[in-house]
Amino acid sequence: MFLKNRSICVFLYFLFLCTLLQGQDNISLTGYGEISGLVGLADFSEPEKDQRFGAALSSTFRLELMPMSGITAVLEGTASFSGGYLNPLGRFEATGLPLDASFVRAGDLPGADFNALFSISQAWAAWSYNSINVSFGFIPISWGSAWLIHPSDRVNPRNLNSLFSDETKGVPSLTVDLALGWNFGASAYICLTDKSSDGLVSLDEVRPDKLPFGLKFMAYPAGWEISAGFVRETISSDVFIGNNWIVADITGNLGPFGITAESSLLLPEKDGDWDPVDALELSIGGTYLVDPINLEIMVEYTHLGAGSKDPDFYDITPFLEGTALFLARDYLFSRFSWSGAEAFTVDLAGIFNLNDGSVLLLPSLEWEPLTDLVFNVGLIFPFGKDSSEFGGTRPLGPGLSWKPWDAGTVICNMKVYY
Amino acid sequence: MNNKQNLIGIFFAVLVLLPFGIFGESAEDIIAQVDRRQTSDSEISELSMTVIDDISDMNNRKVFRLESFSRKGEEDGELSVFFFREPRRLAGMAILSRDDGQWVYFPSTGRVRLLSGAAKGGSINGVGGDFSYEDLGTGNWGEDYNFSLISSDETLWKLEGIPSSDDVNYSRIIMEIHKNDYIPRRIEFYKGKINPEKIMTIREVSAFNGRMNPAVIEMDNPSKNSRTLIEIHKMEFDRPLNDNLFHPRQFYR
Repeated sequence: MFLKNRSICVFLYFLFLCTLLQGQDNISLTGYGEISGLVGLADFSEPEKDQRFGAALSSTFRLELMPMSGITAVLEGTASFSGGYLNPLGRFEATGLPLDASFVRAGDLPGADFNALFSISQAWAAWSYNSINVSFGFIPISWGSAWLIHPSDRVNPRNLNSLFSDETKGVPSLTVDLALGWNFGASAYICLTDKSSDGLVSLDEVRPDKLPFGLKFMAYPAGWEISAGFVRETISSDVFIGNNWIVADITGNLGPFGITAESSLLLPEKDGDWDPVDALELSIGGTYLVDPINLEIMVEYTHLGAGSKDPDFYDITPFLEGTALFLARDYLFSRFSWSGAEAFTVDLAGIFNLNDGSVLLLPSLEWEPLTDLVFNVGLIFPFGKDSSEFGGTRPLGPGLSWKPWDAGTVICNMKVYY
Repeated sequence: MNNKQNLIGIFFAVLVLLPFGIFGESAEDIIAQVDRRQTSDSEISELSMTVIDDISDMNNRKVFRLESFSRKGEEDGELSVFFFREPRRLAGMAILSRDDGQWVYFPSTGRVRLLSGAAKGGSINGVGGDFSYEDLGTGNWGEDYNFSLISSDETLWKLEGIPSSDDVNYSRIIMEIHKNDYIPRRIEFYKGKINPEKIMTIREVSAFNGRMNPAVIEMDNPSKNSRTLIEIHKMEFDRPLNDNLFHPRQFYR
């Protein structure tokens, strides 16, 4: 409750600040309003099932201040109203599972027709002096250059939002970035929250051995970027679950092809069994632009060591926790993106589960008829056998089952930038 | 007048006319002057870019406003960083070019991406219009091409450039350079042999801080029937720019 009231106060204060500071030279105020609608396509295999609908309305403001040389402050907040299947609480409730404690702590009422939420997605200040940059506050920490998932990102939850948007929410943290000469750099963070991001940890939980942190070194040899580092991931600080990872990321060009390889390796615990294949997360892929027709082709293979090759052993718990988006071990992601005339962009993406043969097709069409006005229609089409990840139903417990990827869904969206 | 007097007359005429270039300048000399006059230790500019997808529908246009910082690298090459100010959809996005790499920073996601080689040659998706990343990064003509003089009239030299570097995306260029200021007025970029892929026209030249520079640049793409216009509103030269401005680290959090 405390967190929600504080968010409302900060948001209102933020709007007040924006009004006061409008028009100043060293201040930038931007944002966007968004209206979304969702319709579930008929599921002929379950005709008795209710049709799915959802609607959402949100407004986001981003305020950037540069009060003096070397100092930057950013505040970004969103007011959102959502209902039906676009209400995250409603979606969760549809599983039949008890709601996560964090929702209750935030004071939201499950099952309400409309869920109103004020949230601060970024609130940080940065100080730059020569080759060092120190930031603190609610900072988006976005490690990794892969496309489908980011193996080296051990801070942000993996959920549906992370699949459809690259946006990362700020987490309470301190970051330090350092230029080590012209071709090298280092980046480090320490967070005051665990991966569940259900608010700040309580006083007795703030122990150095529980706090998530990361440190990486970067090199920039001609046209390439190479980084390697160490990351402590804290899944939950209530019942401490921590993992140590070595992370690496390479991106660059081989002729006309853009190449990306990102990986993380879970280090063995003291007395546990350890298999490097199980401990590895790897994404490796390439992009190519067919210049004459402006078609971008992207292909990426992803290995998730914690996933299972056998659908019978798929574990739905990490999916519900927000620590895993996929259940199997090997995936192929491909995407064709064509920016054509008349301000249209056509996108066809597909996620292929290489272990059970199921597919998630994600076609979308974007149209920008006017500057700063964008319409988007996207479809989610899961295909697969009953036992498969994208086509199947997963048992949750006695009398409970859930189909994570329900029959096809259409999502429409209109965004106005201001 | 005897032969001796004739020879003395010719000798003095040559002596007087030599500084005015009676024998003409070579292509190398001309392009060296073009490069010299276009080059500065650093540049800071505010510019707008208008993208017209279809010339037959001139009302359908997108306008971008950018702030640009560039300077020479420690070794050869150019360092540049563009910050997008408008449209509001892209406000805060930045493109950094250094060495052979180009990084794009997205403020909404906090993510930094290194662009692939093909993306560099192509248009900046939805942003760059007919200027490719390569066109936006100010090149060094004399280093990238071998030039020869095709023709010359009272006001213009016409030069042909054949690539001398593998990094160049074109098979040849034809450049028309004004004799008064050594600023190109028209450049045709070819990928095939006959029709130009793109045509760049300098519509206006203005003085910025006492220095003549293109102020309005138009790029036509005949095959796509599209046009992109760059207007430079403000430009400063030779101001010291810190290394950190051109380090990818600046975007990381």
